Order: sequence, then C-alpha cells, then structure tokens
Amino acid sequence: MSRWRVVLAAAFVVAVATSGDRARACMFSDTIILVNIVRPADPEAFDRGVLGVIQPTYERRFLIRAYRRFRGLETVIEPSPNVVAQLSGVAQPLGWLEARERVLKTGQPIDTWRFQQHRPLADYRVFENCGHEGFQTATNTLEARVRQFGADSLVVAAWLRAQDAVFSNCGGSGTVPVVMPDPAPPTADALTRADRAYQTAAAHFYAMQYGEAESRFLAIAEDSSSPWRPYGRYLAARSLIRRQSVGMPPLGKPEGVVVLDRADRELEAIANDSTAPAGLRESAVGLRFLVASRARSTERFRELATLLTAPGRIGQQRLTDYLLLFDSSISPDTEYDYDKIDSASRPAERDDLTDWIVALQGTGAGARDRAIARWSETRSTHWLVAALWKTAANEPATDDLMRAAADVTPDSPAYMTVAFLRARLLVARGDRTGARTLLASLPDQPTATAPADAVNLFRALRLQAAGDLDSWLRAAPRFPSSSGQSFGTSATVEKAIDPAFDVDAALALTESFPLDRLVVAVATPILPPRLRLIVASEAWTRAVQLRRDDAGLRVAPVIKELAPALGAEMDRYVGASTPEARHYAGVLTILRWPTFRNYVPLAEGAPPGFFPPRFTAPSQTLEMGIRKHWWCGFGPMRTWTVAGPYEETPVTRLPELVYQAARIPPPAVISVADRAQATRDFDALAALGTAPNYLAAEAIAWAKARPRDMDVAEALARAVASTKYGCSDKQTGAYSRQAFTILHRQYPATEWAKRTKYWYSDPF
Amino acid sequence: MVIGSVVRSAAIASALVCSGVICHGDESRAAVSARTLAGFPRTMLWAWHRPEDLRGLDRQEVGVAFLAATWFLGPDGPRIEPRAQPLLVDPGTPLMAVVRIEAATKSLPAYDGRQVRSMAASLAETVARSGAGGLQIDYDATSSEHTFYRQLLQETRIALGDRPLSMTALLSWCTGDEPLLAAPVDEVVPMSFQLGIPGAASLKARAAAGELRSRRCASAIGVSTDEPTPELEGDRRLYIFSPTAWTPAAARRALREVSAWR
Repeated sequence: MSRWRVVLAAAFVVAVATSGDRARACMFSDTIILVNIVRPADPEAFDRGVLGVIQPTYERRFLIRAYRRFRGLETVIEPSPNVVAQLSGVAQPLGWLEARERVLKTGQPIDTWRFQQHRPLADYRVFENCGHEGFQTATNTLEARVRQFGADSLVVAAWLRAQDAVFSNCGGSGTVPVVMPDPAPPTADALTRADRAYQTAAAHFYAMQYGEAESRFLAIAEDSSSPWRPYGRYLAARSLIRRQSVGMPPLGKPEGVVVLDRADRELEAIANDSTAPAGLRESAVGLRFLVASRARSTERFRELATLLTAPGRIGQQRLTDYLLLFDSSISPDTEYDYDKIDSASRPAERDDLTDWIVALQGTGAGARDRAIARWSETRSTHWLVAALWKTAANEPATDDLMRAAADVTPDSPAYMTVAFLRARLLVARGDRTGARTLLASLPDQPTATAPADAVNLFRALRLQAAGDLDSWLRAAPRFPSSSGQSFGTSATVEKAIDPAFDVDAALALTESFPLDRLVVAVATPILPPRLRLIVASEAWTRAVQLRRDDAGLRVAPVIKELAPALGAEMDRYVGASTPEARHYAGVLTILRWPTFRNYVPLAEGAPPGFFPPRFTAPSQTLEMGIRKHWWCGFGPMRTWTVAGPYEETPVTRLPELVYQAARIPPPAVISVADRAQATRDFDALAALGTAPNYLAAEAIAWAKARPRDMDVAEALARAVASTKYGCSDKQTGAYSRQAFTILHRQYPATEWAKRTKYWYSDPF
Repeated sequence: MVIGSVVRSAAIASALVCSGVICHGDESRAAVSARTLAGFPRTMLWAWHRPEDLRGLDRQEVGVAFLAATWFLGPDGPRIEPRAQPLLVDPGTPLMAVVRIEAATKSLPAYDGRQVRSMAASLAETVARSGAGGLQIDYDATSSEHTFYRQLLQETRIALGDRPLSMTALLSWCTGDEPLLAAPVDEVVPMSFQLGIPGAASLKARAAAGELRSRRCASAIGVSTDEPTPELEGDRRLYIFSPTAWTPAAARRALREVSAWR
C-alpha cells in the first residue's frame, strides 16, 4: 500500500471512529419526574378521590374534578355518542377506500394517508373538511347500492364516479375549481336522482359553497320521495355552522350570530322530531351546544359551569366545551397574570367554579386578594386551598388561614393539599419545629391513598425543616411518579422505579456538603443502597482528586460493601503502601470504572436511561452513544445560575413549589463553616477541570514519577480512551496526544500500547 | 515510529479534508444552494404549532419558517397532522414550510421505494399548497433511520424541482463526517438549543464560532430565545425559535439582539 493510501485509509478510520458516537449522541430517554405540576401521577386514582396535593398548574380538567370532590361530588364522565361511534366503527377514510376498491378492483395499494381530508384556510392553517361521518355515510351507501344493483352495474359505477367528484373537494384550495358530480340522466330512476341531488349538495358543502349547500339540503328536506330527506335540515344546519366557522369571507360577530341562530332553529326542530332517526337527534342536540358556545359564549360558559358543578354524571362534550371556552375567554395557559386577563367578565360576575380556577391559576396580588376575599366570605374548602396557595408567610390573613387549615381533618379530600401548604408556611415563618410536628403526621411512603407526588412534596419539606443530618438523609430519597422529557409529555411510570434524588438533595450533596460531611452521610445505611452508592462514589472520587486519603479510606469499605464488583479496586486502594501509590491506585480505578463521578446528577433517566443516564451499578463499559462517563468541567450553568458540573436538565419546579424561590438555599443542617469548606472543595475540583483532562494529566504525572509501576501503561491507555469517550474541551486533545506519546515511547511492547492505535484531537 | 507517522499523516489528511481541499464537490453544491436560497433573508423566525403573529417584519431582513405539518411515521405511512393554528404575516413575507417528522413506533417500518417517493411527492405538495418558497424538514433521525432519511431527502429533492430544500441537523451530526449530510439538500441548520447532552455549553460555543467539523453545517444555525447564545461568526442564516408564541413585539426584541450579535 502506498504511503498516501495508508494516510487516507488512516484518516478514514479516524473519522469513522470519532463520528459514530456523534450520530447517536442525542438519543434521549425520558427523565424521571418526582413532582408533576401539570397532572396527577395517577389520574385514575385521582378520579377515585385520591387527590394528593392539588397544584394550581394542573390541567383544568383535573381542577374541575378536585373542585367537585371538595364539594362532596364524584366525577363520572360520559363519553360523547359520536366519539363512541367513531371508536367502535371502521377507521375512515380507510373504510371508504377499501369499499371503493372492492368495487373498482384497481389492484393499486391504498395509501390512506395520501387522501386529502384537510382544506386550507387563510393564515396558513387547514381544517378537517371531510370527516368520519361523511366517509361512513358514503361507505354505507355504496354497500347498499351494490347489494341492490350489483357491483358491476352501471348505476353503481355512476354513483361511484359522482362520489369521487364529491370527495375531490375535500382538499385543494380556493384556486382549485369546484368539482361537481355529473347530473343524473333524464331517464334515471327516482333513487338515482335523489342520490345525485344529495351528492351535488355535498359537493357544494365540501367546496365551501355553504349558501348553495344550505338551499340544496333544504330542498332535499322538502322532497318526500328522497331517502335523504331526514338529513336535509340537519345538513342545512351544518352548512350554516360551517359558514360561520370557516366560511370566506369571514363573518363579523353580529352576522355570525344571525347565521348560528338560523342553524339552531333547524337543529331544534330535528331534536324535537320524534320521526327523525335517533342518531340524528342526538347529533342535533350536541350541535346545539356547539352553536350556543359560539353564538352566546358568555351565557354558555356560565351554563356549562353550572352543569359541571351539579350532582350526577358529566357529559364529555360539556367538559370539553367549558375548557375550550375557558381557553378562549380567559387564557389558554395554566399560569397567567391575574390582573391582565382580558375577560368579558369581572370576578364578581363569574360563577364560583370559574372564579376559583382563575384565582388559583392566576399570579400576582390580584389573585391572592381575590382568593382571600372569597375564602373570608364563604369559608369553603376550595377557597381555603386557593388562599393558602397564594398567601405568603407574614401577610395579614395568614394567621387566620393557618387556623382554618389546622381544622381540616384527614378525611377531607383537601387534607393533603392543606397540610402541605400549612407546613410550607410554617417553614417560611421559621417554625421548623412546628413544621416537623405536622410533617410527622403525614405519609412518608406512597400508598393507595397517598400518591408519590404528595409524599415527595412532604419529603421536600422534611428536608428543608430537618434538624439533623440523619433526618435530612431520610427525607432525601424520592419516589418516581412519572417520566417524560417535559411535564406536558409525561406519563405515569408503569413499573416501580428505585428512589431517586430530586434537585434539592442533589444540589446540596454537590455544592453544600464538604467532603467530611459526605463521608459521614454514607457511613450509616440511612440512604437506600443505590443512592448511598452514588454519594459514596462522589465522596470517594473527590477524596482521590483532593488527595484526602483520610476520607477515601473511610469511604472505601462502604463502596466495597455496596458494590462487591469494586471490592478488588477498594482493597488495592486501601492496601497501597504510600499516599502517592494510593492516589494513583485511585486514579486507575476511576479510569477503569467510568461510572465514578464527583457530583450528584440533578436528574436521572427512566430506564433504560440513555440520556440523562441512570446509575444502576458500577460499570466498565464505555459507550459510544452518549458522553455520560465521569464528569464535565465545573462551570456556570444557565438554568440553575450556579457554578456546577450538571449537564442534565431536570424536569422540576421544586424550588418554586417548596422554597418559593428561584434557587434552593443551602441546607440548614450544614453549618456555615462546613458550607465554606464545601465552597473550597468545589473550587479545588473546578480547577482540576473535566475528567479526561484530569485523568490524563494524572496518568502522565504517574508515568513520569513512577515509570516502573506495572499499571502505568494501562492508565495511559485508558486515559487516551477517556479523551474519546469522556467530556472533552479545547485542552483535551493535547492531553490525549501526550498520554499516547508517552505510552508508545515508554511502553511500546505492552498490550496496552498495541491496543491504543490513536489519540484524539479536540473532537469539535 | 510507523503508527505515529500514520497518525501524523492522518491528522494532515483530516485537515485537508476539513479545509475543503479534497471536497471540491462541496463547492459546486454550495454555489447552487446559494442561488436557490437567495430569496430567503439571513434571519428566519420559526413559527411553531400555536397562533403566531409575525406581522410588521422587514421582509428584506426577516422571513418565517412555519410548521406546516407534523408527520408521525407508522406502519402504513405517515399520520399527518397539518397546521391548524393561524399564522399572521404580511403579504410578501418570505416563507418556508417546515415539516417535522417523528417516528410513531420504536423501530421504523421498512418503507419501499414507492412509499418513499409517495412521501416525497406529498412533501412537495405541502409546499405548493401552502404557498411557501421552500421546504425545511425537521427530523431528529436516529442512526437506524438514516438510510430511510437519506432516501427521503433524495426523492424530495427531485420532487421539489427548483424550490430549495433545507434540513435541520443535530449538532452531533455536524461534529463528524455524518454521511446523512451528504444528501442533496441546499441548507443544513444545526440546532444549537435544547441539547441536553454533556458539554452542551462548549458545543454551542463552537457551533456559533463555526468550528463544527462538517462544512455542510457552516451556512446556518438554529437558536432559541430562551437560551443564551454566543456571538455568531461568519455570514450564516440564523433561525430563531421562541418557546412562547411570537408577537410583533417579541420578534422586534429578538431581532434587536441579533443585530447586536452580528
């Protein structure tokens, strides 16, 4: 092979070797969520009355359920009849396309997704023009005509051509000509003429010519010989509704109300017509609600609120309509500035349910004042909840609210919410003893009546109020309740996952605990084994880095006990004859086991845990996919506004929920002197930089200081590997090259040198 | 030392590759791409699936890349969710239709050539129906999906004709010699936000400084208004995402900041 071919081949190998992991570098898994702010972790249990701690940011469908529970009402939602019909029938338009193919026998594959159901509107959006009902009606009609005339008959062929013309108006734009079915021939029988009249009206409907569609459907309603007569007025009403909602040009409000009122008159007649098909009457009733929501939204909103707060079952459509009207008339968000709501109604004009939700979810003094005022007037449970969420520790009403909160008994559906808020206020007032007493009476483990989210919130308060390290450690583990890449996309965890740290404990263990306190923290088995090993690994890694043999020797037995696979490593570390030998033994262990970190991650992934990673057990595997080995540099982080090594982003609002602050303060169980030492430890670690740089520098120093040590070659080789798999920066390439060079110059015959064919420049 | 020499030579070869001496093919493709994208300003605002108001923009300076549809790839083809939220822009605003693609199942179904061509035709129709001047595909394809994605890009290039084809890219694709980026697209937009990976901060800094290894990623970059973004180097098209709905005031604020960067 020529010199240049060797060069190019080597370049190709280097490029492939360093690019493979990039391709998979962003394989995210879901992040464990410990307190979900948008929905309860177990919605089914919530419906059964297990409310946990109600949060203002919950989706409003859950707040409505909570409101009902606070008032002593269960919530049973009845699905919409149309939805039931759709879910139990054949999927459309697949059913229509398959029925069509059975007649035409083209042999062409059916790509349902290519069928254009949506029609463009102004403003670059589309709407679903042709829906399930239309396709189902066409399918049923085709099958009926086939049974009557035969699949190969001219009647069926003509009907099918006409229907294709109708559906070709489903998509397209205003520039596409309207496609009309051919008229029925003069000699056609009555059924064919009636079918064609119906299809022509439908074509106008789908072509958005609603005026023409309305008059043609009304004419059909007057034709006593047409089998489509029962549908005439219904579809005329649908044409009017479409005209108001998507018609062009758009109607102003007064004209729109006139059109909707006409639609409502037609629908009312159908709903009261005992001769009309039952399904049609039900649809008409449902559409009347829709029309009312659009034509008289304020009145309809109030009507719906009354229906939603009455005893008995709730229709799904009513709940949906209320939520849509809330979104459009108040806010689509679950947090908004209360004083800036541009709503047609003032607080005093609102129904109690809406008034409560608006105050609960609103931010600012206006929301607080409204909640307190309504509680003062009503002394009701739901307003107490809202007021407690809004009030700060030392406001005039707080004492009164605290007394009322203390009177809420454990059998109240609001008990956990009120207890949490009461404990939070006690801590905020500096009454940690009072908070601890209250928290001691609350669940500390998830049960059928105590959801994990609520327990985690209680533990967060216990952490904050802890009076000693043991209590703090007992409150640190939390119970995974859901997972997702955001609150909005989260789902309940299906199988139990081992406890994890939330950001309060993780931050403290990384930034506020000096090494000596970390050693004390892992000395007793208070933490569950997996979390204890995470903290012990952090402590031991720091001990190696900071050359604190005293600390490292105390932690090594703990690691050996928790991770027998590391037993030999810890024995070697403990048994080293000199501090220098011990230090390099520690460096080699870290190189061999890339799960060692010098910090506690802010978040972990749900199994299988690509990124953020999830620690399950010490591992020697170096994975190409994700740079999750060892640690990155300690630098300023945008999200947490503190200097730290964190690269994972937790899905949490814990600082605001529990601490009512943007940042979590250091734990009270750590003394001021210890915090100062923690800062010195942290700064020293920061100066040592990212793991590959540190490990390579140590391996190089080892080779220079103790070149005859038998493990030096391995350390150098693994250091080179760390520059490929670890978290690198602009300096890493130089370390990689130097370690590589020393390995090949001083230990050329070793297996480690033979295995280490390349060093790695800065990958960026 | 043979191995050392190989490594030194490999380093030189890599530098040559990276400097474009060997990749003269890229130059001609870059020239064509510059022509087809000439109608698009240097700053584009991403309008996502929510009501967006981007009226009042200087049409010479700012365009809009709007989410026209989201595709969920399933066994029988894509389930398409078209845009249902209004986008308000002034007439004449340069527009690019964005189609976001996601896999609906854990492993991607094996689509045949007919299906891929059909998808490409549908993408071209999306652009035509929307009235946009070009198409951008936003697809965080995993390694196992790259073969399909390359095929889709090739077929879409054909289906689009003269209209430009842009694609977003994960930063990880840009740090190596990702074969996917050799697809016949006119623009690659590395997404420099919501990274959630180790070394994100330094990676973003390098992306902004044009230090990503792949030259295909040098002509554009995507950022978000809620993440600090280092100053930009080079003359590249900037795409800006906002985690909250755009308003004319929010757009003006973002554009003022861009002027400061540039």
